Amino acid sequence: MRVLVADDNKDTADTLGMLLRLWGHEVRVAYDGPSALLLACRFKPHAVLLDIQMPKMNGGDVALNLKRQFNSEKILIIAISASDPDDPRLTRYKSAFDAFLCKPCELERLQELLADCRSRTVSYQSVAPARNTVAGTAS
Amino acid sequence: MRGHGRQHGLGYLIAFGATGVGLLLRRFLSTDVFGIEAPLYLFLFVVAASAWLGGLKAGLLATTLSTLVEMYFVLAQDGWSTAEPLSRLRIILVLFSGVAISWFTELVHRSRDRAEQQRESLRITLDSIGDAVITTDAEGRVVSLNPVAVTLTGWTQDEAVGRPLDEIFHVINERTRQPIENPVKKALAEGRIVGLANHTVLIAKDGTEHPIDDSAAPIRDAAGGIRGVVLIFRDITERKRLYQQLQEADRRKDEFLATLAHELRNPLAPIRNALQILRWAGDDKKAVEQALTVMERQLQQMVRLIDDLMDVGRIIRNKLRLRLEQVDLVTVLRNAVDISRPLIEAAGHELTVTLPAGPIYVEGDATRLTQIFSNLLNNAAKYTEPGGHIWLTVELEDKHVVIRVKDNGLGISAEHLPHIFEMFSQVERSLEHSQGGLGIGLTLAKHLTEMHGGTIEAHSEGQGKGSEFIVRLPKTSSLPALQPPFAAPAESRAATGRSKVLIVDDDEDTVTSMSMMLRILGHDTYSARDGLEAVEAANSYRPDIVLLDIGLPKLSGYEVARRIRQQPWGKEMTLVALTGWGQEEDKRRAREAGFDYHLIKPVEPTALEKLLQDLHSSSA
Repeated sequence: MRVLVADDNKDTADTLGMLLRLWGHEVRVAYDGPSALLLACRFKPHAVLLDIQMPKMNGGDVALNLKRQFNSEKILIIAISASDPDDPRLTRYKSAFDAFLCKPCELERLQELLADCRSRTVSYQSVAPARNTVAGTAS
Repeated sequence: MRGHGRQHGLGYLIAFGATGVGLLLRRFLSTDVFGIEAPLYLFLFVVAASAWLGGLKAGLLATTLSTLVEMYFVLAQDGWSTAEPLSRLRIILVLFSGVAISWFTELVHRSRDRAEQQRESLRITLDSIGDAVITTDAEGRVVSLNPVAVTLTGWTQDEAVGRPLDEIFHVINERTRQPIENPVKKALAEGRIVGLANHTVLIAKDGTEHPIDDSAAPIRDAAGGIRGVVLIFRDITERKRLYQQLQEADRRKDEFLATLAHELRNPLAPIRNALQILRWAGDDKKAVEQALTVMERQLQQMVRLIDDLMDVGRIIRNKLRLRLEQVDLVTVLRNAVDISRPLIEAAGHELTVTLPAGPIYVEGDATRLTQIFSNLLNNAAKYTEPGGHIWLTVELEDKHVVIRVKDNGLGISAEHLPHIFEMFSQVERSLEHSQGGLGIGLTLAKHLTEMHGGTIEAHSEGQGKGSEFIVRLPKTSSLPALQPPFAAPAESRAATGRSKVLIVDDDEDTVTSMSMMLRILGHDTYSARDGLEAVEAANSYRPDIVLLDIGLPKLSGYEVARRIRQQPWGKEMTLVALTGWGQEEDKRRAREAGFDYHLIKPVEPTALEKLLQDLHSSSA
């Protein structure tokens, strides 16, 4: 699977990238919002893992843009943030994310989400129910 | 003399004058007109006038004079004994009536004075009350205003009296701007005390507005009938300001807690990732190396955060202590630059440092001084767009050293500038510009500077125009004194190629990691989990060095140290205290309990390594 990681903390982004590679994914890493968007256009990721507080463009806006540009059914967008998910500043971005993970994120949970996404991209018949379970966890 | 307008001198003058006039009238008036009693009328009039105008004493004087005059007339005609009985009676009548008139007049005077005094004291009281007071009659017309009411309403007493209260007491709701029902009407209608609704604004005659707080109470007479209303109100501008300040402080505290959670979570993410990498990497040496570097760096970041937090706690409780000594400021600044360099370089800023060639001595705590300047440099690095420029300059003034940290970064708006040093204040809280940190760096810098007898100022032309922080520290002219050694010199110990180390900590992970580290360094280790176990292990294992946690179950680290020192075999051991608190007090207690060294947790591997090396070289 192609996975894009964006986090302005270089250590976080790099280690997550390394881990995803160890799990067998193809990974690209970005350190701010605009680069994440640019990379996504070229790389066409199946899944995007976004930090929210990032310079220049925050993860929420990146997610909204991605959902507009890509077939939103086909791309899994996960927020991995140290912010409180109930922070009122995040409300408007809620719909753009398929899941919200708190830092430090449960890596088993991340693996599950990616596995779900993989099964969807392989068999399009199962897209609708799979998406529902993922979206359910986001709220 | 109580009543005004009556004075002794004047009273007596009146008495003499009136008696004189009476005398003349009596002398020249024909008794034919008034009959035989004419003098009596005259003298009674004289006494009454004197008593009314001059008071009791004047009345009595007039009585005495009149009696004497009457006696003179009587005696001039006949002797007292030969005088007509009626004339004698007249004299006595004059005397008694005069006394009685004087006395009654005095009584009238006294009760009039009392009433006036009461009115005056009420007036003075109302005038002195800090609150505004308006009284009305039963129709709601103004009867009186005290000076505070005059100030707040803008109506003078003369203008206001007799007008309906509505005209001078114009209140609206702060939010809706709609008029509020006058509380006086309600108090009159319902006959009970009426408190005003919140958020009331009083509009004065000239249009100025004051937020007020008030209550209206009916004035009842002895029979319980309502005679009017007393309305009391006060300007609550100051109270509102304090309330808003409190709210603001509360909001900032909440934000701080959210930031704190965020900032503590942030370094945990890469640490967890790196741990997983270690698990998955297998033989990939490069990945392992990278994961370890990340963990170390992020752990350091967390330790720094927690150190800052503890400093904030110390500042709040006023427990921050400085270890004052002669310090070379140039060295301090070099250290500060070294600490901040990674952040400055990561952002691609250019740093220009201008330092004098020789040392500059100040009295201070080197660590804390370094903290001030690294905080200022970090701040400049964070709040400057990548590729900016930061200047650090030092100038010498007569009695001060002036250190400037300047940048061409985001700057500070005029609105934020006054609050920049306040606890938890962070200029920007948008998702894009969150700069990390707890918003306490500048607060710490300010407190530390002031503790050093210095001052700190912030300057900025405004947003986008860069900022400059100026620290002034008092200069000392004396030469630096020698530093006291950190701890007592190590005791001599049998030289063995490697050390036997006993590690005592109730935290399993600490024990495991320290044992691993020490074994890698080539030492023998043994471990204990509580105080009693530690004393036994020290006896059976006979280590060269004991690393002792202080907060242990069963026996505290201090007690363990004392018991070991009491044993013949325990005198030569090197005891190292490990605590989470680096306070001077903890160090003193550790020394007293028999510890040779004191290390703060988490123990830096390099510090431990150095300590072991030092012990070796001193025992070799």
